[in-house]
Formats: sequence, C-alpha cells, structure tokens
Amino acid sequence: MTGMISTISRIWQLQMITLVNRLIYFTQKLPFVGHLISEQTYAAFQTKRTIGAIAVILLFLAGLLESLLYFGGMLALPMLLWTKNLNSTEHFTLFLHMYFCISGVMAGITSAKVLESTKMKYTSVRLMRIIPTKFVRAALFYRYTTFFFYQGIAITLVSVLFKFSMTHALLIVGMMTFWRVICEFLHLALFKWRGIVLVQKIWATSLSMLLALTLAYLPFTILNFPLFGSVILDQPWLMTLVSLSGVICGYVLLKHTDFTSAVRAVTKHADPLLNPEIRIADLQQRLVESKEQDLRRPSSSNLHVNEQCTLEKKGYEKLHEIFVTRHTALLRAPFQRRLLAIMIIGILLPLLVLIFKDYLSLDSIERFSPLIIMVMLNLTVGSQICKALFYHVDKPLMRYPFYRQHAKQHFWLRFRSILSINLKLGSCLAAVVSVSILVLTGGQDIRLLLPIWVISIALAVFFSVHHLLLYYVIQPYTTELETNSPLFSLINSLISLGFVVAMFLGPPLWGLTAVIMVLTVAYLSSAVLLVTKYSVNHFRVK
Amino acid sequence: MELVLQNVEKSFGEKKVLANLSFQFEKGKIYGLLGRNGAGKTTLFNCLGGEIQVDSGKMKLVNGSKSRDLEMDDVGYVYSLPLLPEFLTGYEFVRFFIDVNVDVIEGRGNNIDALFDMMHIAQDDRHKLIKHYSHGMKNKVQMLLFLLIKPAVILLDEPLTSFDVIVASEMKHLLRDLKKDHILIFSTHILQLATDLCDELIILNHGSLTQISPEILTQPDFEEQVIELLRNESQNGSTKESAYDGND
Repeated sequence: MTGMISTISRIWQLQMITLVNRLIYFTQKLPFVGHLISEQTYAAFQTKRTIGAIAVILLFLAGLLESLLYFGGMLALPMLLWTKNLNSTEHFTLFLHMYFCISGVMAGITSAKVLESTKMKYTSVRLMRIIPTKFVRAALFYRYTTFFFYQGIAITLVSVLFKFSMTHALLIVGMMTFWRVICEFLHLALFKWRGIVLVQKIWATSLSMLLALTLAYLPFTILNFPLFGSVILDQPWLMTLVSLSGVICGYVLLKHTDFTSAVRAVTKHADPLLNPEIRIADLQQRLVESKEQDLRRPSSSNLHVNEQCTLEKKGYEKLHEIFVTRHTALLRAPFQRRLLAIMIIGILLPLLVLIFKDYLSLDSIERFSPLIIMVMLNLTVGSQICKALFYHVDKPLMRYPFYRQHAKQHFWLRFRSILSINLKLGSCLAAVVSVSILVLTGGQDIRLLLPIWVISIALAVFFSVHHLLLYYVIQPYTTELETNSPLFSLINSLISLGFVVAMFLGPPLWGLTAVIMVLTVAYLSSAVLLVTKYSVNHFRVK
Repeated sequence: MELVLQNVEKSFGEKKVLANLSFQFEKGKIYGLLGRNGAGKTTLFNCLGGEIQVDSGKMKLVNGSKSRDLEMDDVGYVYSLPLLPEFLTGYEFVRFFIDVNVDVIEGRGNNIDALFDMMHIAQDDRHKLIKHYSHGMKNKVQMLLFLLIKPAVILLDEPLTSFDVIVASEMKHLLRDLKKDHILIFSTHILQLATDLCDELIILNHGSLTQISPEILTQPDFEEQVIELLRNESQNGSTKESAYDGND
C-alpha cells in the first residue's frame, strides 16, 4: 500500500510539474506581462510547489465537478425536463435504468484505465521509467477510490433532489465501482487472450455509445419501455455477486497482475492518441501531398518534352503553370468537394422550400440573407490551396530574398487562379439560391435574384483576396502545416463576428450587398500595398 | 573586397547572442567558423543573410576606398538541408531562377547545360524531378545558383556533412574555385574538414569572433588545441586574447 501511495504521489508530482511548467511557458508568450516572467521562474521550486498544491486541489474539484455534471446533466436534468407526475420510486427506477446503460454498459466498454492511452502514462512509463505494473496498480487504486468518492457525492445530491433512499443510492454506486473493476479485468483478459485493445476500437466504442445512449433515453419517448437497467441493478443477489467478483478482480489486479505488456501496447510514441500534434501534422501533409499520377503528367520520361512545351512562358508564370499541371488532382479536389456540397444544397433547398412554402416568404429569405457570408466562407477555396502552395512551392523558395521581393508578381498569378475557381463556385451557389427563390415565388417575383448574384460574386472575390492576402502578409503556417498565428485566427474570427452583426442587424439584401462590395473593393486595393510592404519580411518560413 | 562587421549586437530577450562582434573577412579566403552548439553561428548567418535584423552595429562591404552597407542580395546562403521545389526538374528550376533574376545574372545563364556540366550533373539527371535527387545533387543545384548570381558573400551551413567522399571532394574543389571571387564563410563542427578546406579559422563564443593563428593549423596536435580553445572560450568569454597568445 505504501508503494502504491508513493507511486500516486510521484504521478501527481509529475502532473503538477508538467502543468506548472506549461503555465510558465504560455505566460511568457503573453503580450505585456510575458516579459515579467523570466527563465529563472522554472527554478522557483517553492512557488512551483505552492502552485502545484493548489493545482492538486483544483484537480480534485475538477473530478468532482465532472461527476456532478454527469449526474446532473445526463441523468437528473432529463428527468426534470421530460417527466411529469412521477413519484420517487419511479424516478429512482428510471434513474437506475439510465445509470446502468451509461455507466455500466457504455463506460464499461469505452473506458479502461489498464489499456487507455494517455500522455501521462507515456511520460511516466516511457520517459520517467516508472515500472508499468506499479504505475497501473496506483492508477487503478486512485481511479476507483475517487470514482466511488465523486459519484457517491453526486448521487447523494441527486437522491436529495428526487427524495429516494440515500443508502440505497450509495450501495448502487458501490456496486457500480466493483462492476467497473470487473470491466478493467475483462478488458485486460481480452487483451491477453487476443491482443485486442477494445477501448481503441472505434467501431466498438461508437456502437456501444449509440446503443447505450439510445436505450438510456428511450423511456422518455416510448411509454412502457422496459426499464431493464433498474431490474438488473436492483437485484440483491446480483449486487452481492458483483461486489464479491469486484473484490476478487481488484485483488488480482492489484496484487497478482503484470501490466507490462498492456502498458507497452498503448504507450508507443507513434500512437496518434498520445501525439495528436504528429497526427495533425501527418493529416495536414497528406492533404497537400502531390499525387504520383500528377507528377507524371506528362509522364516523367517526357519531362524534357514538357520543359520545351512551356518555353513560351517565363519566370513565375511558368512556375505557376507547372505547379498547376503537376498538382491537378490536389487542386481540383477542394473544388469538386465544394461543387458536390452546392449540388446537395441545390437538391435540398428547393425541396425544403416546396415543403415549407406556406411558412416562407421573400422577406424571411431576405432576413436570413447574411447566412450567405458563412456559406461562401466555407464554400470558397483558398486556405487549402495556400497550404498546398506553401508546402510545394513557397517553403523552399521563401528562403531566397528575391522570391520575397517579387511577392507581388506571384500573388497576382495565384489570385487569378483562386478567383476563377471561386467565381465558378459563387455562380453555382447563386444559381441554386435563385432556383429556390423562383420555386418559392412561382417565378412571379424576381427582385432578390440580382442582389443574390451580385453578393455571391462579391463574396467570391472577397474571400479569394482574404485567404491569399493573409497568407502573404502573415504566413501563418509552420513547416508541419500547423496554423500558428494568433493574428491570423483573430482576423478570421472578425469574419464570423461580421456575420453575427449582420444577422443581428438584419439589413436589407441590397444594403448588405453594397457593404460587401465596398469592403471587397477596399480589400482588393489594399492587397497591393500590404503585399508589397509586408511580404519581404513576413512571407517566410516560421 | 572585404566584409567588415563592426560592433554587431543581437539579443533574443535577455540572451545576448552576438555581443559587440567585430571582424573583417577578405575575398579569396574560405573562413571556417567554429563554435559550440548554441554559440550563435546560425544567428550570425541569419543576420548576415538579412533573415533577421541586428540590434546595433554595422555590416559593410568595402571595396578599396568604396564602402556600402551589406544587402540581402549580396549574400548567398547554402543550407545544410537544401530546400528546392521538388515538383520541378533541376533544369526547370535553374531556368526559372535565371528568368526571375535576369537583371542580376547578366548573361551568365545563357547556356544552362554548361552550368550543369560544371556541377557534374549528368544529362539525364537534369531532367529528373528534384524530388528524386539525392542530397548531394540538391546541394549542387543550390551551389549552381551562386555561379549565376555571384553574391559577394557565400555562407555555408554544414554543407558537406552528409556527402559521400566523391561528392564531398567535388564540392571542395568547387568551393576552392569559387573563393577567388567571393568571401566564403563555412560553418562546421568537423575540424578535419575545416583545416582541409579553410584558409582561416575563427571561433564564435560569447557572442564575439576570435581568429585562430594560422600556425596552429599546421601543428600535429591541432585538434587538441582547438578543442582546448573552444573549452576555454566557453568557460570564460574574456579569454579571447589567449587564442592568439597560445599560438605565439
């Protein structure tokens, strides 16, 4: 027991040091106050210890809060909202049913400390060299002691609220704790028998979540739905059996189980769950990687011929043309995906208009016209093309001063390319919306058609400038293609803010169109100045 | 022609990386820049290349009685990991480079094949995608660009580290050929390479540069002496003079 407590304490210390160091690191990055935190802060052990102690208390409170939220939000709240005229026994029966489905079935399948893949487990075992078996035993002991403690407090509060027996409720939580220990044992047994880590099988976890949640909440919609969960949980003989089995499993897990192979299986460095940064970087790179068939276009043996074919073009124009030719699939994919989305909108929108014709009017369409800003933001291409340009063309060339000095030249070439794609998408969207308006008015009223087309085209131009200009002026991408610029995020959030303001104000469509047109012209004219001024210093690899 | 650095300073936050750094580099020489990890070699290169701005001090190109500030275009930077657009063939990339730098190149790019010949890049390889080039070939292409634009100063950041013996030998010959028209500053951790290739050795430590006496290069225990110097320098930045004294 002493060994287990000391391992728990070591895990805590590690957790606290990591947390406090991270806090210091991010505080240093803050504007204005960042410079007040010196590098020596990392060595302030006493302060770190005090902050660590506070953090331990906060962690306890967070664990308790999590249980309170679960009991309150997922179990008590639905009963308060969706049930009427139930007595305390009926409430308790319904509560037990939901608790069985969610905590017993769903969490029993989707959660297992012995086989979960966490950064702390990786750091403790792989980096800090804590013996895997010691680590898991301590983690299990900590987990299920706090499980009973947190859920015990939460269920006590719920029992007060719904006036059912507190002792009975606590017995149920005790039984659930033992059941979850049995689940840990079963997860480990499955791993040892077949090498299967069930908690990492997305199909199993998703399916169990879907089924368990459906079964948990079905009683609210179907009258007389059998509340089998409460029947199972409320059997004294089963309670005894589960408790005894739980004690035995717990004893075996804490005293006679070697967790080395299980821990090694879930603490591999390449595990995407442990290193989400690697996973995101891989995903980003896969999205912009060249397709071999594109690079062979025309076939690689004919590259010499191809070089001669493009002789009439020079410099950046030629570079861009070769890039487009050898990345056709990559550049076409975002366009095709968006076109497909517009086609789906084109089918659904007129259908919905037909169905809800009696409840819709041109005024209501005009009222919600600012939605087109968000639709165009998501339907125009830009950011993915900029990432592809960065990855294939600019990352190597940005290192040459001449390339940054000539930024204006390649900016316009690229702007033309992106604009031509976005104009096509904007026109398709305008056509789709026009059809829906014609369906609504029976072709009688066409006054909204012109502003819809104008605003779609203006937004196509606006977002073409927007993505490319931010890329040239801020260059937010790291070599791993992560977006790492608060300014970039801030400017992008202004678009969303603009949309919210427009929705709130609800201007007439022509008014909104005029504003968008003015902004587009201003954005376009400022682009030349901004690219010339800032690209030399900012258009570079971070 | 000389590259003159006067009281150059660069700090990152509280850390002073280059401190009152002054030095004079001459054309026709290859300078080997030595320094321990974190000494500031890359920062010095980035300042010279205009990638980052110095906090204070002057960097000038002096040609006889004429003197002017060092500009971005005066410096060519050969990276240890050459980055080139991999979707282009070597030939396409060089042609693109000539097209967009036509004013600077002044007719030196009229015969691209002759340039590839100079770099010993085979006819077939010129028309392969850079994606399929070896590290050595990519580096040769990078060097070829300097034959075209002829920057006054060429900075080489560990350029020969991962080459096979043949390519390394070719590159050494090329660098020796280049030095007559340029100031070459060569950063490396390999002492053997530094003595083999460089005319002068300089140590960067505590933010300033110290020249190692030429005599030390010919002595049999050269390596031990340089290691000792680097060790002493990191222990005490003020031992700059001892580098000279130790060789006298």
